[in-house]
Amino acid sequence: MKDRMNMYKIWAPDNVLWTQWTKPVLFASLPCNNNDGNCELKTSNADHIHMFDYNAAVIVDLPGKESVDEGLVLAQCGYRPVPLYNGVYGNSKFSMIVDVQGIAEALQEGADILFALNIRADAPPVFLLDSNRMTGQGKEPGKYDNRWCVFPQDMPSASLLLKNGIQKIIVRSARIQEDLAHILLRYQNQGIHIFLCNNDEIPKELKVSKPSLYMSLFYRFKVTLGLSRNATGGFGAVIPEPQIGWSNRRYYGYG
Amino acid sequence: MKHSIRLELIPEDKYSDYRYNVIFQAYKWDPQVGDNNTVSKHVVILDPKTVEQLKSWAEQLSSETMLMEEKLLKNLSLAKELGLPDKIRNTLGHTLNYNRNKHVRLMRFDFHPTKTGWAISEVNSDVPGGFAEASVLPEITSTYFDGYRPAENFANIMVEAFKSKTKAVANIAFVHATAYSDDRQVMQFLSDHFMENGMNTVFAAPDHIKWINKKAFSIVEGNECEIDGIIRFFPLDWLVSLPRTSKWQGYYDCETVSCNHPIAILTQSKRLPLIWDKLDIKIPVWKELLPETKSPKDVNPQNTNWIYKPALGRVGEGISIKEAISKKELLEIEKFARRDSKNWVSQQMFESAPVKSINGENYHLCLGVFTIDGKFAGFYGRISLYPRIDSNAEDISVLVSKESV
Repeated sequence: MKDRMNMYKIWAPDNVLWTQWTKPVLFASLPCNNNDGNCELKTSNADHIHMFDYNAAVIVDLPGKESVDEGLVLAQCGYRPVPLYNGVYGNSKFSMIVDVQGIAEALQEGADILFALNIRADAPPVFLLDSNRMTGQGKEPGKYDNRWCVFPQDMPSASLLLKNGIQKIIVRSARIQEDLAHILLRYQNQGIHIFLCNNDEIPKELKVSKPSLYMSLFYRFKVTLGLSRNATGGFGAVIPEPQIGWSNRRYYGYG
Repeated sequence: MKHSIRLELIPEDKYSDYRYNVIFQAYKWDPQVGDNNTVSKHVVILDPKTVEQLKSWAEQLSSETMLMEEKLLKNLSLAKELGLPDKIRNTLGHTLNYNRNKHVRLMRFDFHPTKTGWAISEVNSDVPGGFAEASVLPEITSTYFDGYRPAENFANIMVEAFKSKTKAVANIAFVHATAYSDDRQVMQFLSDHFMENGMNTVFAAPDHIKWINKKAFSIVEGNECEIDGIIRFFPLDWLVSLPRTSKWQGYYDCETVSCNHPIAILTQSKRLPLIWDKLDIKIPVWKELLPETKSPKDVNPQNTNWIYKPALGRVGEGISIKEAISKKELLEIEKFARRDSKNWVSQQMFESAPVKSINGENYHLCLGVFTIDGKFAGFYGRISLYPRIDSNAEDISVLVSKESV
């Protein structure tokens, strides 16, 4: 059994540039389970992105543990998986709005697989997201609200990606979610090409649509404020649209 | 007062372990923000005399702040000028039975070394952060250096404050936005520390608390119980956005030991200095350390020595420090501040005196000084390469030299 910190160290070694973005949240809050060490690498439907491209980063935005599995498949191709899961593990599988137990188990099992792989320190990154992050079920009082969003500051800047040779990003998902669009459009505007790859389709270059509040100084604030509007104290199900004029804008928060 | 501040590098061979330990022992779940590593490679060393001065100021500021709150409570009409949401102002009447001895009063005053001495930029009166940073980072880094020690341990003082006002084995609710990992990390740290000290803890969203005869009860699945103490990390400004069914007004007149009681909103507003002369009390330390503050409409737009702040601001966001933000952002903030001046404030800019690192880099320092029930309770240090402390700033351990420098 690995402790949480050692598992995190496997996923986020300190000598690798991209793993500095690995989110500790799930590692720090998940229960430590024994596993038998006989982990098998899963297969993937997206063979087209398994052609290793040194100039490409991948964002896997798939539901639950599928995202970890896909990340590990890509790790075998030479990419460096970077978990960006930012939702807390609740008290139990049944008390969480977003069930992250599958991800937690896959990260634990995947640590063994990853440990055995010899991934280059300068390997391009594959960022891992749970596409269910905002779509949990059963939001009744008493449930633990662990929904979350990904923000631009959760990922490297376009300039840093370009500086390190990343010229295109392949999103492995059925669609581009609104919070991710905020990040991808920043990349696209700086000259990074964005591709979408769903299952067995060949990745197609796409023009990212401008999401609401794009580049607004108040975007993160507004999303966070949306969080407060939810009865369970968590994020709203969608990024809130502006509901008040600029002149009535307030800032809220803590220090 | 002359600054006696130094930056020391954490030994290179220790830093990697330090960063991992900060993440897991100090619950630092946002160690990377954008392209910035937010776990500093430095520690800041304070001279004992500087520490004594900062402690003394913070305790006096805390005392003055509590006096202002209690005076404001008797003159709630003045609260109209604080830029508070209507729902809050309309609920403040519920707090009239407030008794500071029955609650735990936590504040954090943000001190900055400037070219003309120390200044404060604000008090975080409602829900200050930096608990783990003030408690754990100095404990870890003090093992790397001879001759330096941690200051007071925030978490220990917080536990003692609750023990003195609740029963020995109390049920403490940690109320926060449960989906927001930045908040959860703060709550989990403190909850674990309370449990280590024999208390029971419950993580709760604001509407997981129900009110019966002004007492708090948890309805969290599996943790249904009477609550003896509340640590709220959910800003009052957000509470009012919850549905009416959440009964958020219960926080305002509850008799359960609260940290902080909602009276804190009266001094959380950055517009407080605009009305403090009307309170007819002496607040000499506030007046000595806070730069001159005006309504945005009373400041000449051409005068670049003034900055704008939202009345209820957050971690440096929306503050118009021109060296720290883009021209576009500056213009946008100025436009909002002037158009909506009753929710903003202008403050004369102080010139931050940067502290030079051993590598020759100049860092701007903000020392958050905690007080709990009026007594000093530790330091929360942050540094930045530009003169605004915001979410990109690095958390830095604060140590005290055992002898004067």
